[in-house]
Amino acid sequence: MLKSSRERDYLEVITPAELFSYGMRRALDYLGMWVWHSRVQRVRIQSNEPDVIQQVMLRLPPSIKSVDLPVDNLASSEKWSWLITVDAGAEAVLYPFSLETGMPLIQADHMIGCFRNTLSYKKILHPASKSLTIRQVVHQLKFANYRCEVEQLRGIYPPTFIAIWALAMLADRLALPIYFPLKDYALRHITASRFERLLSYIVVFHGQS
Amino acid sequence: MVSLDDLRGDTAVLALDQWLESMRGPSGYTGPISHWWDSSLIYTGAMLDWRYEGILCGYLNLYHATSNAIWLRRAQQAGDDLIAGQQTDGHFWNSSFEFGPAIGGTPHEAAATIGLLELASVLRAEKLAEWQRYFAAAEQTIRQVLIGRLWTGRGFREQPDDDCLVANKNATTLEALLLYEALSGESMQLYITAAAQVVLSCQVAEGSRAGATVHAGTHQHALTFGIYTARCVSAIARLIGRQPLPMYAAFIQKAVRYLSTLVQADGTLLGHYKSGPLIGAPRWISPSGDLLRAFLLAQPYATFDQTLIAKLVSILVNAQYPGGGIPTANGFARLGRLKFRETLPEFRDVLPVVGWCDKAFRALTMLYQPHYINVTTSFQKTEIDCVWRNRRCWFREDKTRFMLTEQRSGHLYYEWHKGESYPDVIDL
Repeated sequence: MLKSSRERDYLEVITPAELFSYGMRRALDYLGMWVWHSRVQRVRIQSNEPDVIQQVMLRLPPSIKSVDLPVDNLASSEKWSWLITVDAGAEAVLYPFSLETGMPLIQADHMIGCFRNTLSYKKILHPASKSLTIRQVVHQLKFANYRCEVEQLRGIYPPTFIAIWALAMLADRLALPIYFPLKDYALRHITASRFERLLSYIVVFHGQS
Repeated sequence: MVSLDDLRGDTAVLALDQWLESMRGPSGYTGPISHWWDSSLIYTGAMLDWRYEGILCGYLNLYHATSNAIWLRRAQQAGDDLIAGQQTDGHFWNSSFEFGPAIGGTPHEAAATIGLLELASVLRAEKLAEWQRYFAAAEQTIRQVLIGRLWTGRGFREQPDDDCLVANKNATTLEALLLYEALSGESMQLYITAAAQVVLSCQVAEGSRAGATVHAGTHQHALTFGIYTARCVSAIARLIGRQPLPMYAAFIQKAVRYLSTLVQADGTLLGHYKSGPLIGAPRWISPSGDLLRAFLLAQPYATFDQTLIAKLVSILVNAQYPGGGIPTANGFARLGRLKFRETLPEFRDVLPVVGWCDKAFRALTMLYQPHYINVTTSFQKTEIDCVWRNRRCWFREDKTRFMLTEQRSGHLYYEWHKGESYPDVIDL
């Protein structure tokens, strides 16, 4: 059956509008933060999506001296041409929503990325959407670099958030003032660092060898 | 005329300068952000947003008052941050404040442009050729972004893909255009009149919110906010100086009456919901600088209780930390609730945020007098009792970092070194 263009977009890529959602922004913020914590100077952004690359570039700390992109993306990222190199020696490779689309893994000291999680409510709503489990990601990372250990994991949009957010959205639709406290309460639960991270829509990881 | 030295405002200004300097990183002013809409606590790097309006104007106010070249140098340093971070398309790097790293924030780019144009005006008056650099940068943003992408024919839209006309954003753009027109000699009348019309059309005519401007970006909720109404007052007060029309004076008079109802002893009330109830929490502290500026600019055009000015100065000065920063608010833990409850402040309350403290800095410097003596002191540490997720914490600030630790266990929730793009620890 032919899917609607909206559904097709959802299955294939992260749309620009979705990139600016509360959770996506936080996922990319964590990605940038872990790049900074890694104290690396050369990174590769392993993505084919110009919009996603732009959002990652905005978050790179000033300590980054060179950014390597898949060659096809050079033209679309001319704003940062002074940073961009085609360099195989990246100390960290970043996978912003790209592992689930089949982007190949590259060996590096640090592997930092975010992906859409199979074990989340979104998968129930969109069974055909591209996603991975953390187990699959760990397996892939190990396969690319046998010494790689996942050191940090954060879940974005955990079940608690979704439950509160759903109530907030209902209040929003009805123009009820309770929308604002509910929204704020939900946002305070938008990231999960314990069990709930495994059931979150987005998982951010940092693997290090 | 309120005397700053009677209220310790003169030392507050210098302490704010010292604090702002401590917040600088390689690309500009840094730090975590708390706001009503969202907070940016992970990304803490330099952002070229509306903080530059208050910082630039504040330093220029000090230069006007004292003729001390140090203040002009500080302003040029801030102007250079903006030039260095301007893109070829006229946008400023990471100009979206609480939204985190994103280009094209409104009214942030217009506000940054105001700072650049104020700086260019002062340098031109001093017959320094550098004014043209700052003017050229501002002109590029005005031409390519404000007029090029946001102009709809009847006002300035929220975003290129969102035609919503927001009053305070049009007000900020209006101020930028007034300055641009004065410097360039080119008429901006078409845009200025339309932006003013947007501002005037958003004013509530009657009821408990009479005089406030509705924030059209809140759609069906139709909220009114004190700080955004105040920014509209400041813009219309500047406009009325050039076009003394009765409708502008009437707008200011009604808006100031609304703002007067928001001023409390310890902060300013946030605003109102559509059906009239007051939004009880949070109460703004450092952002109240925008109300102080509005009252100061409205003085020739509106009658109001003059003690409000001293009250607003006291709110800012009394809340100031030993290190010079000013907390953002009180009541973030109960954001949006109808009733304010006196409790310990939350982490987002106690954060001193550059993009809010600039409002206090700008307003306080409007009252700065030449005879005040510059006294520099060593940076004083700050320790504040606060809560995070119902746990008692300490918020500590010294010259180099912010820390949030749980009082009982000593657990470190947050540690950020000033100038850095991210915190070392975030476990919020």
